[in-house]
Amino acid sequence: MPPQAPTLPRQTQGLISAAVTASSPRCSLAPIRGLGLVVILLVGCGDGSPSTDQRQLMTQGQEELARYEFTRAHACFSQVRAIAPAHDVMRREASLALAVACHHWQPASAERIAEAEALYRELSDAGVGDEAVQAQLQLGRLAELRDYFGDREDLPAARARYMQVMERWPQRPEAGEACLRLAAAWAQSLQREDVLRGVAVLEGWLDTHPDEAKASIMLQYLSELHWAFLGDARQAVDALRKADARGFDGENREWMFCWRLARLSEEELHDRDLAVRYYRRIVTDYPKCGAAWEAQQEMKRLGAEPPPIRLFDPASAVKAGGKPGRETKP
Amino acid sequence: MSGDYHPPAGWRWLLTWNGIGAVVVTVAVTISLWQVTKVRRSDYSDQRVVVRMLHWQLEAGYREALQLVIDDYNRMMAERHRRGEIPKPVVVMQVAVSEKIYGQVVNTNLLAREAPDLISMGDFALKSCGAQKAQHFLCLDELVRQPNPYNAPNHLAGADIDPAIAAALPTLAWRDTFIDGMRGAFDDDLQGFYAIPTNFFIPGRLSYNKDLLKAATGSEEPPRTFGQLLDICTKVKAYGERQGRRIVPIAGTRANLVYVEYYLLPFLASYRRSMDLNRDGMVSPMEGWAALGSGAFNFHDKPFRELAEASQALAEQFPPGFLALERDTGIYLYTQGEAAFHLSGSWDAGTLYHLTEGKFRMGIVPFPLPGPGERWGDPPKIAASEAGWVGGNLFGVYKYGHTAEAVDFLRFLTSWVQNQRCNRACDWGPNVIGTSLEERMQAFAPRLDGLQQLSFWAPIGPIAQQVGSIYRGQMQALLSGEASIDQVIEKVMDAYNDDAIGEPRIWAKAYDDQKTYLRTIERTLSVQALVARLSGADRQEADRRYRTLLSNQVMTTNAENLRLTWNQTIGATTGRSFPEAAR
Repeated sequence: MPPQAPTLPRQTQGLISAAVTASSPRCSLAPIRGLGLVVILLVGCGDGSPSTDQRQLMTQGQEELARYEFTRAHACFSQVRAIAPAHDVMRREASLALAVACHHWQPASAERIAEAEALYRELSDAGVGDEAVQAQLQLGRLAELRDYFGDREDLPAARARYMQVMERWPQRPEAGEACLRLAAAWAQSLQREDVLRGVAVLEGWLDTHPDEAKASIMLQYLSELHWAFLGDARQAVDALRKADARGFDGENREWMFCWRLARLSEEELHDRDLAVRYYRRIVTDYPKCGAAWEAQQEMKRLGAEPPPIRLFDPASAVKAGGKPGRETKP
Repeated sequence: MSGDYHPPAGWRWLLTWNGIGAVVVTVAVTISLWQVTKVRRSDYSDQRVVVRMLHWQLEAGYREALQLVIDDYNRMMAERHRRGEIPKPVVVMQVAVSEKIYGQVVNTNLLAREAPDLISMGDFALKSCGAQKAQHFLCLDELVRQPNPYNAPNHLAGADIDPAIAAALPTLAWRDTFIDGMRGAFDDDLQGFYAIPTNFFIPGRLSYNKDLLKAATGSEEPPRTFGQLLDICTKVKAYGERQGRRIVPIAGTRANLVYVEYYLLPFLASYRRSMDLNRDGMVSPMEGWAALGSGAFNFHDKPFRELAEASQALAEQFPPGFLALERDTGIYLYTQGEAAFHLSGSWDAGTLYHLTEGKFRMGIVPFPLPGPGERWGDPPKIAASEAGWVGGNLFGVYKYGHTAEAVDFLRFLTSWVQNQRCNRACDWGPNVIGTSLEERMQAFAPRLDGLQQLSFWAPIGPIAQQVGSIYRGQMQALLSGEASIDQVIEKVMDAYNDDAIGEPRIWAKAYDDQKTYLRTIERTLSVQALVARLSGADRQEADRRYRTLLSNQVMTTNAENLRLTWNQTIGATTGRSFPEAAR
């Protein structure tokens, strides 16, 4: 439904506007904009109940962030950070949100990235709450990716950050992501021993975390590493079949995993039955992918009777699954 | 000088040229002001909500068909207002703009924050990246999960609808009421829905003039194969000469170049398996370039030569100088009976039927391919499957307009009854489950047989850059008879082997673009995760989106998959090292 902008006190709205202008890189008062912001924020502290204003500013900031309006979001979160008590949850939330706004500010600059890094470090070093985990993970992302022209990737630093997330917060959902990122950070060198380290990281994590929420993605990536990087079709098929057992992860890409399974099974493992099974899956489960007819032809070539493509048969789809024309997960 | 000029005094001045001019200007300005005030009063009045709907569909019949639905909706809303159900009457107005200026109109209005409430997601720059789309358009994820209230039983009463569908529609999520499950409206970058499809466009059909075919060949039977098409074209030319009339076999224009490209897949299909290095069922552009660089694909080989020959043969049936002709000229030639065939898609069918009414009888068949035993018929040519086609004519909801009213009208427009009514009225394809095409539009029913659309690389598209431009330019020269196949190949390969614009640049640019794209995904991931966390949004949905983006991102190994592809193909065969991107 339509975005509902919170009604802020007039003075606060003016402050946001002034702060946005003052913190804009194009502001002619750039040299004193930091000072201006401080003055504005100090004045803002005196307006009404701080807790109500904080909540409203956080909401406003979220909405600006959701619109990718980083300048405005930055202004809102800066104010919250300035007025919230030092150990307050909202201050941590505002700090993280402010860091994200700086991290993804457009156009990106070394200054904004440095500001983001400082905020992430502050949260990570404090080690309190969800924000610390997120901050640590984001420090890894800052190190791994090029954020602005001239930026350099620092893979060893990124790996260290990811490992810290895995070690300090092994039960947190971010730890699974960190594991995935760590494996990818190893594989990036394309050196066999590094790729094998990446494989070991993923396999080790899956062994010790059987309920990992991102297990399917990990298995899909494991399959990619085994096949594309190491040329091991059997391991690739095994990993992908395990991902299939859990349900493939990747909207509209499930049929591609089936296609790969079918081709690898036939051409590399010489397992005709497995190939037929996955070609059949493409026809029955993903008839709209556009490859269903080809999957039928492959089945015929392998001597199997293909099922029909049921695509624009809404009545039967309604009766069968209640979701006409939609791919259904296994 | 005989004396100074003295203008007539008093009212007589009005009878001078200057006076008449001043009166005309005054009257014109007054009328303009009155008109502006009138529009402001009607369109921006506080007494009613005006929902403006901007689109670029100027094909014959569409605006009228849409207006039928709009009129019904406006009447319904006026009635609801009278009954006190809504505080203000809602009025929907359509604004149709030519495709030539559509992009400028939309971009300007979006930047000025004065955009219409509903915007056809046609060709404009501010929808090109996820962040920009999110800035201007409403995310519809929540809404598409709810049922469409205009599919309630009272709205379906009396409709000729399958009882099973009629029973299911009222409770189905809006998304699931579309034939494609709204797959085409899904934004991969944002992992969400930002537009609603309102119909189905199916391309690749051949309209034919039955009367002309009968006169020229003695039969009105349309061609089923490419050989038959060329045979009929020869007879049509001869018939025109006998009659002393200027008749072209196919009313081809520059817009039909896309049909020449349709031959890429059937003619080059034999390469699909070898080019699909990661065996995911599709040939990515870089897998295609890897095949060219490593020698797995060669322009001199039979498949490309045959493709070029068949394309030439097709273009020979077009009017001379067809590359300078606009799409409208092709429609004119065909509807005036000066061409036997017209190549297009379902979007033009209504226009063609409308303009040929009373002039000649028209039929439509799929665009033919070489048949068995014909020239270029070995190996057998298979067309692309249309099973993956998705809904078109998408409308986004402008975030800062009358969003609730705009969404309500979109629901009305895509309800079973209105979607079928609107699309059938203009000979387009409805896209709600259980709807059907007009009898004469049955040729546009999607073909389920055929090859995966994206299963072959084409040296076109943004990744190809300068080499792609040279390829397209050379193909145009070939089709207009200005270059031979050998000359085309030589020019394309010269460009490909040129270090400044060829292979090294293609790979370096692709690598750099991939990195930039991954960084964009990072932004989406980070922002959406944080917003979901802070706002307490549907956690399951947010997690699903996050996982999908994460999966897409990780699978590229931070763009190093491109370096790997190079090493395993071009690097392995030529010993060349990967061209580094500019950092």
